[in-house]
Amino acid sequence: MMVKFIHKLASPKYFYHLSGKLLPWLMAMCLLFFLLGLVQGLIYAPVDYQQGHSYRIMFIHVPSAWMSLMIYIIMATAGAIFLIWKIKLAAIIASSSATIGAAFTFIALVTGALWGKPMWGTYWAWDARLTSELILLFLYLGYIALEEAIDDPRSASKACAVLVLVGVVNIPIIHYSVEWWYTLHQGASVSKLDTPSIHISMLIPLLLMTLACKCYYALTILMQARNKILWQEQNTHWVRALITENQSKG
Amino acid sequence: MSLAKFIDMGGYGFYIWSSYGIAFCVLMVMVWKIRKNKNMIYKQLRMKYKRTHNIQQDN
Repeated sequence: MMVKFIHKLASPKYFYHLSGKLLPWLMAMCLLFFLLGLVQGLIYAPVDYQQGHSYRIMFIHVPSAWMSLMIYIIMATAGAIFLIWKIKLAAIIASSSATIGAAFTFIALVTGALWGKPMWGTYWAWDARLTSELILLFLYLGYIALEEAIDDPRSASKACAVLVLVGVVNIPIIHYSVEWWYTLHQGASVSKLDTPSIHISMLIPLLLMTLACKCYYALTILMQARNKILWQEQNTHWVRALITENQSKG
Repeated sequence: MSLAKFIDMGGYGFYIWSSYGIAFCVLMVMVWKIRKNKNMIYKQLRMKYKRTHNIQQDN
């Protein structure tokens, strides 16, 4: 039953139709979570006794940084699936994630710099956490450049999958950098599951913003994947029917 | 809480609002580019199908 479903899902046509039904729901959830998270985070969350209001940058900085890692792991998994089982959809998922991952990494770096200035007195430092996150941005950009440089889609997917798998070594480095090296960047406050060192009134907006970012990723990856599917399957009957049927709609 | 105080954010207004502003712009541009890409694909495929359709009719 499950295997059958996965097989069906891996067919581009089925994926296209199913994702089309999901899009409006994801959009609504994304907007709702962002709205709730922003109101909670910027208005209702109390002032931090050490950092004043500046800590409110956390509500966008931390979710973006988490997303930058999560998306990379998803890309690497999809890349491995493509290399092993040659599932076309896995390659599409991996390549659709790259620009979104790069966007979140960029946001994490920029908001980190804007938080660093008032707290550490500098926008940038060659600190372990910051440097490894910058390398992650270069990995994403390298992936995008490599994909565009290779004309044949199959060889592009293969080369990109290898690149993304090699880059996985950077992920634990980013995660543990604050423990392995003496860094400017503070340690984790949420992932210590037993006793998170963050107050509930700050944790709730953080989780809401994280959910919002996840919905945003789900939304954009589906939109992006649908574009790629249309292009790749342009010689099939169903794409032809779909495009010509929508003619009247503009 | 007054609006001016809210915008000032205890002196950190510049850092906070530019963080959220940049993040918002990046996320919006992303969606806009994907939508633009979709419209382009539709346009190109429509043209292609029209062309091949005409060829089929000619034969």
